[in-house]
Parts: sequence; C-alpha cells; structure tokens
Amino acid sequence: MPAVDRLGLPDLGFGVGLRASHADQVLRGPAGVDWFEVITENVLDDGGYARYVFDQVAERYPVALHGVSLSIGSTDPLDLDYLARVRRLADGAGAAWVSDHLCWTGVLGVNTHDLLPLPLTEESLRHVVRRVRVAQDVLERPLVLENPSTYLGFAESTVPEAEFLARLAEESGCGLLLDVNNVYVSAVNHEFDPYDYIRALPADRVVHLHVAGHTDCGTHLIDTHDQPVADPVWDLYAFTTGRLPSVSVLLEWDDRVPAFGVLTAELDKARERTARAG
Amino acid sequence: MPAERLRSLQGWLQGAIMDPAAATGVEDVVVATARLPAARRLAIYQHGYLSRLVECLGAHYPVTRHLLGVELFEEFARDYLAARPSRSYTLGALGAGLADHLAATRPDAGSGEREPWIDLVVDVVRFERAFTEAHGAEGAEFRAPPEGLPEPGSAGWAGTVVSTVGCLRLLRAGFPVHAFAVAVRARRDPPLPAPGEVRLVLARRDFVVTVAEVDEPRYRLLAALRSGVPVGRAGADAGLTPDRTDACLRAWIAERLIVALNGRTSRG
Repeated sequence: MPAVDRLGLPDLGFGVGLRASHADQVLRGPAGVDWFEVITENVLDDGGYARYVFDQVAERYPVALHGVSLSIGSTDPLDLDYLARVRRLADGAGAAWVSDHLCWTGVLGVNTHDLLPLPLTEESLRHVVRRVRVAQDVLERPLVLENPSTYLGFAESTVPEAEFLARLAEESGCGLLLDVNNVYVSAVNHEFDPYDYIRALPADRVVHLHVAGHTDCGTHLIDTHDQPVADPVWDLYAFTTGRLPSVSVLLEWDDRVPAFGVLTAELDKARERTARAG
Repeated sequence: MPAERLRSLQGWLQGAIMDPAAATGVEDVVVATARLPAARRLAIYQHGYLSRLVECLGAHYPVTRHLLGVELFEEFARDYLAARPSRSYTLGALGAGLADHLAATRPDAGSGEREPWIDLVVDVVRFERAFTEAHGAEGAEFRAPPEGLPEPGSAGWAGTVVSTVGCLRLLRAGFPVHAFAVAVRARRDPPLPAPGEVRLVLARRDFVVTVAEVDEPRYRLLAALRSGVPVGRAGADAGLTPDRTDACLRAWIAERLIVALNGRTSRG
C-alpha cells in the first residue's frame, strides 16, 4: 500500500458539487454528504445569493474551491489579481484546497471558457511547472490540478498525460485531482488503457477523486456531467480506490441537475464501492 | 521567448475554434484515429465553444431571446461573440457588451430612419443586463439602515454625502421594458410594448431583484447622490425642495438603497 501523504491535505469523505437548485435543501440540512465543492468563479465576485449560500455552507461543512479559469497552461501571463482574489476567498471560507485543471482556456487575452488540451511536450511541462510555482506562491498553498477530458491530441505530443501529471506534481509540488470519468472519457477518445493511466500516477499526490456522468456519442465520449456515472467508470473507480485508500471523493453533476436525493443516492454508490475495495 | 512552440500551437487551436473557416493544416497538427478523424475532433471544440457561449447568453437574456425568437437571437449572439470574444475569466461578464454591440451594429444604421423595434431590443438588453448585475452585486440584506441624517436646514444636511448600495442600477428606457420582462418571465407572451419613457431603479431585497419606476426629479436625484454629489446640491439640481429631497432620502435609507452617510454605515 503506498504511503498516504497527499500534501497533508485531509480526507473529507464523500461530497458533491454545490448547485444553486439544491441550496435551500442543503441549508435546511443535514445534507447527507460530508463536504461540498464550489466552482470558484460562481462565487468569487458575487455579492448576492450565490455568495450567501456559499458562506453559509462553508460555516457548516468542509468546502473546497474548484476553478475553471486559472488557465495554468496558457502562454498568456498568469492573472495574478484573479489568483490573489481566489486566495482571499479560500482564506475567508477556510477552503480545504484550491483546484483547477491541467488545461488552458485562451490566449491573446481571449477566454474561450473551455478547458482546452495542451500539447504534452517537454516544453509544455517546463512552462506549466514554472506557472504552478508562481500560482502556489500567490495562493500560499499547494495548487491541485485535475486531468481534463480531451477530444483531440497534438501530433507533437511526446509525453503521455499520466506521466506529464506525475512529473508536474513531482517538480512543482502540486497535488492532483484525479477525475476518474475524465480518464475513461479520454481513454476511449484517444484509445489508451485507463488502468495503465491510473497506475502511472503517484498515489501520494492524489488529493481527491471526481466521478461524473458522460455522454456516449458513438464515435467518442463527451464529459457532460448530466447523468449517472457509467458502469465502466464505476469499475475504474473501484480499481482506483483500491490503490488510493482514504481519499476524498466528489460527485459532479452540473447539467440537467436532478433532485438532491438523486445525487446522494449516486454518492452512496461511491461509498459502497469504496467500502468493497477497502 | 519561453514556450514559443506552445504559444504558436495555442494560437492555432484558438483560431481554429473561433473561426472554423480559417482553420488550415488540421491533419498536420491533430492526431486522428480510424474512428475519429482530426477534423471531427476539432469540430467537437468548435461546436462546444459556440453552443456553450450562445446558451450562456440566452440564459442571461431570456426576455431578449423571447423578443427576437430563438433563431434571430442566436444569430445576434454568434455575431456578438465573433465581434467581441470574451476577455474575462467569468461568464458573468460575457454579455456585458451586448447592448453596446447591438447599438453599434444597428441594422437601420445608414438608412436615415430609426426603426423602433431595434430601440426596443437595445432597451430590453440593457434592462436584462442591469437585472443580472443587480442580482449578483453587493446587497444590503443584512445591513440595518444608516442613522443620523440631519434635519433639512440644520448644519450638515446639505453637505451630507451618501453611499448607495452596490446592487443599485439606474436605467432610462424608451419603453416600459420592466413590465414587458415580467410578463415574458411569467410566460404570458405579451404584446410588444408601446413607446414610453421610463426611469427605473433596480436593487435587491432578500436576494430578489426589485424594480421601481420613478419620476424624472427623483431619478436625477438618485443618480447624483450615487455619484457623490452632496445632498443639498443634488436636490437643487434635480429641481426638488429640501423637504422633498429629504423625504426621498429617508425613504431610500429605509429601503436600504442608501447604506451609508458620510462614509458611516449603521452599527447593525
């Protein structure tokens, strides 16, 4: 069994992404979940109900911030003001950690609001390592980076994604957010073995897991977060939790969001599979 | 230059996503498989980019979308995104320039005669933007009203400078867009509103956006107060007597449109 370090970050148990449609139920509590993940950009500048709910939830539950706009892989300058505001938000809420994605969202000042794939090269690795170090200095905590779902790869890529993440974690000191569904989606789309991918990751750097649903488009899978977790993803999840005991787990469901009870029932499946694997 | 090749590839992919017609050399850059050729892989991102952002604009502008119809709204949205791609980290800012873009690209520009329906569309867009901003800006939900406004005529009254709540938005429109928006949001499919100038005050109470129509003097007074003009001069410039100005102030304090007097908030 690998040593559990995870940068000293806690095992929060089983959580879900906080969504506006569930706010009333969550605040009436108890919610039946151990922790909540909040999309950073949904509350960062908000002074209305979204921020109120976030503050209330953060008083009652452990929370983590999950961003979509850091653009850690972009060749545009890092947005240091954004990072400083994320740090203040995380400090104020006592967030367990701050995560984002191994991706870029735009260049030349443009934001496509998509999690775009990086060419996985030695040059890209050096570039991202440099930027993670800067981001961590501003955030004053380790950054946790998630493997994205991708639909295209670059002919110039020379480093397998799992190796890229492992070396990034080693050289920059960042943590990893292992999205099991994303591994499966990318594995189908790019025709690699998802189990080999999981084996190649440094277990002691995986801070938490994501599971989510995807859409099968016949020729490829799209990471849609709009339905239950698929069986092959649960199988991969069971394999993963066997390698990563006592790691925080989070269910994402962002589109066609069902009743909160549907989420907790899906989360119970993760609990059962983790218990069986343990 | 660090990461020069990475910069080049990112510029290529972004350009190919935002302007599919200009994408060249896809097979040289993107790995293909037998099941999914390179162009189809790129098309996933091209389609996702537009559909996601057009959907986001539709969510921010449901009344405009109803007014124009889905097809025309989405055409306008795509045109807007091409002309003014997002430069903000937050999708909340995505539609901030839509009204200005529509105003600058009016189909009747150059015809010598303004078409009223375009004025209506621009006004509805401005109203919906103000509504969105009022919904998300700082409010006064947990603040007590500020105390200590001097009486009119007493020392200090005329020189008092007030602070208005962060979610306050003032909007002058050529149509009663607020009533039209309420009807559309209630799915009543109302007739197009007739022209008629309105001055609207948008704010928020208990996290619900409020919209009130005010007359010209009160609109001018509130606008002046918001920009930091002292109470006495703001009232005089708006054509209001001190007593009427004071009555407005006290009402707006009670409604928590005014949240501080001379920089002092309530202790509550």
